[in-house]
Amino acid sequence: MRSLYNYCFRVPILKLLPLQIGGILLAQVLRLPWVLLLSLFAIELLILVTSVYRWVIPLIIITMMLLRWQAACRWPMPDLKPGSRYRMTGVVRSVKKSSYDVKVDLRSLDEKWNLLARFDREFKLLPGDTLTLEGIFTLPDQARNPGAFDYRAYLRRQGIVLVTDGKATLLDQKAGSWSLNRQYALIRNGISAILKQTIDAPFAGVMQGLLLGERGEIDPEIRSRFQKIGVVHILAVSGLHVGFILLILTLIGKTLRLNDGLKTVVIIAGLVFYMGLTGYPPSVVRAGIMAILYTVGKYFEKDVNPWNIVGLTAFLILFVKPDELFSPAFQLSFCAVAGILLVYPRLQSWEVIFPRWRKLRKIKAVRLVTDLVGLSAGAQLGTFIPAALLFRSYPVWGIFANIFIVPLTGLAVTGGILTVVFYCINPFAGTAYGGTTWGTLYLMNAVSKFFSSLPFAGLPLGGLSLAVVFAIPVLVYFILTPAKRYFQRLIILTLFTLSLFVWQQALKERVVRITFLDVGQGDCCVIEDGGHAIIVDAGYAGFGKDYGKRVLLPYLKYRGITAVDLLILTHPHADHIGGAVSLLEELKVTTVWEPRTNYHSELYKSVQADAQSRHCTLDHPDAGAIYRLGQLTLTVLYPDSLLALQSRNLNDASLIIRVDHADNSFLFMGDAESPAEQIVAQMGAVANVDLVKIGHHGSVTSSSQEFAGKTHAKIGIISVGRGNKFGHPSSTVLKRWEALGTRSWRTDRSGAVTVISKGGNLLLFPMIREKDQPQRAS
Amino acid sequence: MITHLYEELLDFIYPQYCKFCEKKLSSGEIRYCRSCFEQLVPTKIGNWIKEVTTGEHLDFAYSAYWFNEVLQDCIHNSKYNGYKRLLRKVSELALSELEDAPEIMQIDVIIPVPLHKVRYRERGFNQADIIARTIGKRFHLPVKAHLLQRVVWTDSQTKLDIEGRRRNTERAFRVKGSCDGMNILLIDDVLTSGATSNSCAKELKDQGAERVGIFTIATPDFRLRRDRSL
Repeated sequence: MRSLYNYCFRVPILKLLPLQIGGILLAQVLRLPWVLLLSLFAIELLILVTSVYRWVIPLIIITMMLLRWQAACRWPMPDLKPGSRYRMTGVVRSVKKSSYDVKVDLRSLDEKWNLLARFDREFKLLPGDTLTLEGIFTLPDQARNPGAFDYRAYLRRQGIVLVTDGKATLLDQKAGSWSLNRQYALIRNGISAILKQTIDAPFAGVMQGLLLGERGEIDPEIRSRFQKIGVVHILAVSGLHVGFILLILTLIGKTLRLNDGLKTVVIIAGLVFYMGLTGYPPSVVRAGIMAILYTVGKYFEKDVNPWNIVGLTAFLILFVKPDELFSPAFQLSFCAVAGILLVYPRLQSWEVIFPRWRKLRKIKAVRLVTDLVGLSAGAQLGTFIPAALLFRSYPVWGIFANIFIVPLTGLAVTGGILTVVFYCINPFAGTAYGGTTWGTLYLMNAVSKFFSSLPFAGLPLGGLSLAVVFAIPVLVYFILTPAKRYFQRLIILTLFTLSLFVWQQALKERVVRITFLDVGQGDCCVIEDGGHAIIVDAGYAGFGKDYGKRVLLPYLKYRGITAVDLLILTHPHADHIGGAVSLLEELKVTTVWEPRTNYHSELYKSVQADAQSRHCTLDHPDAGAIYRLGQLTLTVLYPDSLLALQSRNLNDASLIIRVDHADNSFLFMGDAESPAEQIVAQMGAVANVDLVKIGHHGSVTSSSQEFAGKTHAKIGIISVGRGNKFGHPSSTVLKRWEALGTRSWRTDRSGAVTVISKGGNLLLFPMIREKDQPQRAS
Repeated sequence: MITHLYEELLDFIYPQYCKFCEKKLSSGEIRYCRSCFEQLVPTKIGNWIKEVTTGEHLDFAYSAYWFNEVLQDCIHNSKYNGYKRLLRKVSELALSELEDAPEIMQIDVIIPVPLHKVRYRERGFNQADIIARTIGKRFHLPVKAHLLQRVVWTDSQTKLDIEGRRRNTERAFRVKGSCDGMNILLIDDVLTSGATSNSCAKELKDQGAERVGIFTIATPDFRLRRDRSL
């Protein structure tokens, strides 16, 4: 502990950074009036200046961050009704072009709020232009399912509160006056145009990503492949690129034989220019500030402690934009650097143990490769925890893929810069040189293809508990650290980590988690009991939409579910079975339940064919069938095969299932309408359940008074799409349930609804909360 | 007040610790704390030309300090990390050894032992030049860095024996310009066998220089190496 304390003095920023982060976190729960905060701040400053009490410094930092949060992180909503058509005039802040559209960040004229407007690709827009546009303004999407991307929070971090629904109509455009951002945009456009001329598709888009961080025109296939093997960081400009820029600038300084002061100025100016050119993304700002601090330190002939520089950079960024603390990009970026700083010296310390290693490292090629391995391993290790928590999957081959991709990136970035420079001197030379750069990119693509073809590309981590997620990088770190009695320590640590796995299983709470996913207009529910998973319906697929791929599979990955015990398809309508195709293709499904019908559709056929080819047991359970799995008991209440075949309405062939977990019971109605309801209403099994998945998306044809009155459910779930064309759910039905004392939750309003059953009481968590507290039921 | 704040800020961003005793450095201290810096041992031997192994063309030789680990770290960092301030500080301290030297009064010009131009380009500066300029400023003497040039790329001296060193530096230098009748002081960082400076002196004297001497910051303690051939 003592040494850690001393260490904090060696890295002075470590004394302030935790306080700053604490201040930001405090600002999340504490909102004080301005006057109070300002006077508090003034008093603290007064104490600092007039007295010797140093303890006031932490208070100053915390108060400062509270003030800073309240000043910087206000997102006032304009006085508009989201979802309606409006006309707006604003000034362009930034423009992002992709293959389909142009996204424009507009600042309202009263300078209070921002809108992200989409336009057709053809428009030529520059920062500083004043636009008048008309469109439907809506709120950006929140994360509607667990583990899903929160677009609203992402845009809010950029200060954007509204987006246009679909493309906006441009009514008027006035060119802005000179500004730095405008010049950057012009240069960026110029470089993009040159790259498109000199480098053939599809690599021109990749080059734009590599050089400028413009990801819009990267071939989606290339991008997803890079993502899969864990090298996608190179497509977005990152710290790596800043490293290459620094290298190039240093070489320029040397070639021009500048003196130290001038060299420093050139490097700083170059880095600031590059930050602006790429539009200040967090990773470039982070690396840029670090590089500047390093260069300045070297100019003053100071020993530069990298940790202090990293910490100071984080401090500066968080001071300017406190909400960056919650941005995945910020977290990943700093974790990667921390990992590199931890691991890289460890690799060198192996020289102490293996003298031969030192000899080997004298060879330049060996040093280059091992350095790359070290950097890559460090970054991978550092990002393990945030990646495991954010993405729930880990690119296994990332370390090795990076060894090849990173040097190629260096070549490609230099090649890209030279191509642009040559093109400016002589278009022909530029085009000729572009060919070589194309070759580098081609090689890079080939390497990525090779790695993505290897098995186990993504290691699923969704099932790991927090303790294991934290234990693994610690273990790896100690594996990399040589020490006395190395193997003894290694064995102890490995056993410790393995025991964590065992404890994880043993300590797993005996709860059942039922998640009604938001799959738009359709049904999809996942029931998890320890390692078992049951899925009731799989959501809609068709017309280019596949909720199986978009929602269900990502959720299962997020939860670490790799096998499904039972897939229940209540009836073969597309909004219930659509997602099953992707599900059956991707995961092992043991049993599939469906009612016996004589329904035919292409989709249904392909689901059945998939189930057969994957060796699933296809079952048509009759009323009365009982299925036990872990702590769960499933009872089929309806229909028997005769009824199902007779019913003219396919909805009335829906499987109606009661799920019991100790004292909790859940009723899944499928799309059953009143004829089916009347039959089950006679059964005792329907009476007194805790939760009903309300039939047929809350349609007026279901939830008859007779049936609804029997259930006495506390919770009703309506799985329904926002603004669906059927008008679900019916207000009559909503009122009926409400009158019966059932609180209904709608996936169109609450997003996914998670119910945690402890066997006696239920906890309910909607994804989108009306209040901040979880609703306690029964 | 402002300077104080500036120093504080710089110290906050780049906290400095002594390379040897890990003590926190106060302002004005560079790289080593005062007590570690005082470990520099002045030679106090004056002109030690008689002890220089290959010094037949040299007229006098002065070295300020015995070479030790502080100096090694200092010279290494000034060469390879470009810590010029540190080198200037050491040079200023080293000057005192020259102040009592009778030869300094007759010196016309100071010449730093040159680097090969490839090495110079790679490093960006010549550490001997920095020492020379510090000394030239103190004694108001002109520094002519371009008078002498290294024209042959020589291998590193560290692994060579005395004969090897002599051969290595032979005809490595060329005088560009006139040094007729001059009294010249050569400057280098470390003087070991004297092969390099001797070779410089030979070339300078061939071109008409009157007297050539050498001053270096450090020299290995020759009293400890009687048995060795260097």
